[in-house]
Amino acid sequence: MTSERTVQSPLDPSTMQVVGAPRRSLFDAVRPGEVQRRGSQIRGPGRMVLAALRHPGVTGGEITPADAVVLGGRAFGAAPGGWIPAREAEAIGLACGVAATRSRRTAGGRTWVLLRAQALTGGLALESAAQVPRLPPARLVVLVVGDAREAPRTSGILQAMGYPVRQADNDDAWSVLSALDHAGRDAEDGPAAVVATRTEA
Amino acid sequence: MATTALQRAFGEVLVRLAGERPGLLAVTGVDQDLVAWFTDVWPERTLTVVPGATRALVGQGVAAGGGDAVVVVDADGLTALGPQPVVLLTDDVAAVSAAYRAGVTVCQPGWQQDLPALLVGALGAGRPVLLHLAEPAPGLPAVIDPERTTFGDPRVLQRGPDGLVVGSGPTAPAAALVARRLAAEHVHVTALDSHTLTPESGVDPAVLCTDLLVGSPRAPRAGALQAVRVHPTDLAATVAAVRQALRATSPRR
Repeated sequence: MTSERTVQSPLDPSTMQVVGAPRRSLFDAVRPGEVQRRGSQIRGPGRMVLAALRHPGVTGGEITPADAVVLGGRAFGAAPGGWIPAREAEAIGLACGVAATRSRRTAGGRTWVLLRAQALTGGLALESAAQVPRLPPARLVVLVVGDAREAPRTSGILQAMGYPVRQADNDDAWSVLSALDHAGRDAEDGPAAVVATRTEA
Repeated sequence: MATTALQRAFGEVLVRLAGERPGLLAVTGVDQDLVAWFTDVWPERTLTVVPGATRALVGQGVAAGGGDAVVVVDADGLTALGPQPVVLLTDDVAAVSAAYRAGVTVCQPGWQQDLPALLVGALGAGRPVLLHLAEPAPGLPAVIDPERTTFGDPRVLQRGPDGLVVGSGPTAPAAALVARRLAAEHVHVTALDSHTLTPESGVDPAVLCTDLLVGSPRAPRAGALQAVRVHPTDLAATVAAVRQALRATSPRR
């Protein structure tokens, strides 16, 4: 008689989780399928990035996020509770101050700032973005969404300013979560950026 | 540019306050004179941001993140200013006028003793406040009586029915001295130290950096007050000019 035994995979996230340990990967706490479903329902430029930020596994909190989220502009709709709304051109500068404060107060807390690629054509946003890499590391991640045709230009600008840039497909939750995951690690040593684009009609 | 006694005293107050408030950060540009002591003692709490508009935004972000921000500003930096409660610091009169036009409350301490109360008050005001550190002219009273004051409320230096003399910041000690000299001539005026001026006051605080406002205590509206230039080297002339303005604005004299 053969006994059936359930063999637990060593890669099962539940076996890897250590109580009290810092987050290792967003995929430990987030189901990409869920983000994909929610992101598909979002109209406007935010799409998967916005859906990912709304997921408590990404920003680390059920009711109010443990991480700070600065929402740059009205194109993304109203800011959920606990998020900080900002004008598009002012979002990066504001997020920089938020990150500077929070990095001193919270262990491991990140600051995410979301804005459209068009914002990086204005003087104030460019000026602010250029200043951030010169400041002490504060776990700040800049998320830029836009049309796929703008991706090379946007990534080039941010790389020239000194950001490590991760690119993602804003129609694909797996791609976005992977980029956010890597950018979150990059942000330990200085600001990081994710450019998430999709082909718009 | 060399720092003045008032600015040095402010540096000491800021360092002491930062010891009590771990979330207090200074955001400054290349010129760090106004927060030089703070940057020496708390370098990890100093953010150097060169462009003025971005500096103001970073300060606003510090406040939005739950910290206290003291931001060294110039006139250009006041264009990108939101509602977050930050203390903006300047020794530039042009920034005072720009703040007034931008709808920012301006606080001008006239005496070193007022700095702790006014700085704490400005940090807790719930809106942006520009703190203008301008040194009073030499020869004016260095110690104030009554000593205590609170942010937002003008301090009454002297009470009297014969006129109203208003000073602020560098002219506040002149208002006290003029009121005292006039009292010796049996002209009893009400002298005010309007260290905190909101945009609703209708008075550009930059005017009060060089002039006293003189008028009738029964019509203390901005439009009914007359500006009298303070001559730091000739206070007798200042007193005479105030006396003349009182005659012109008050029917009793």
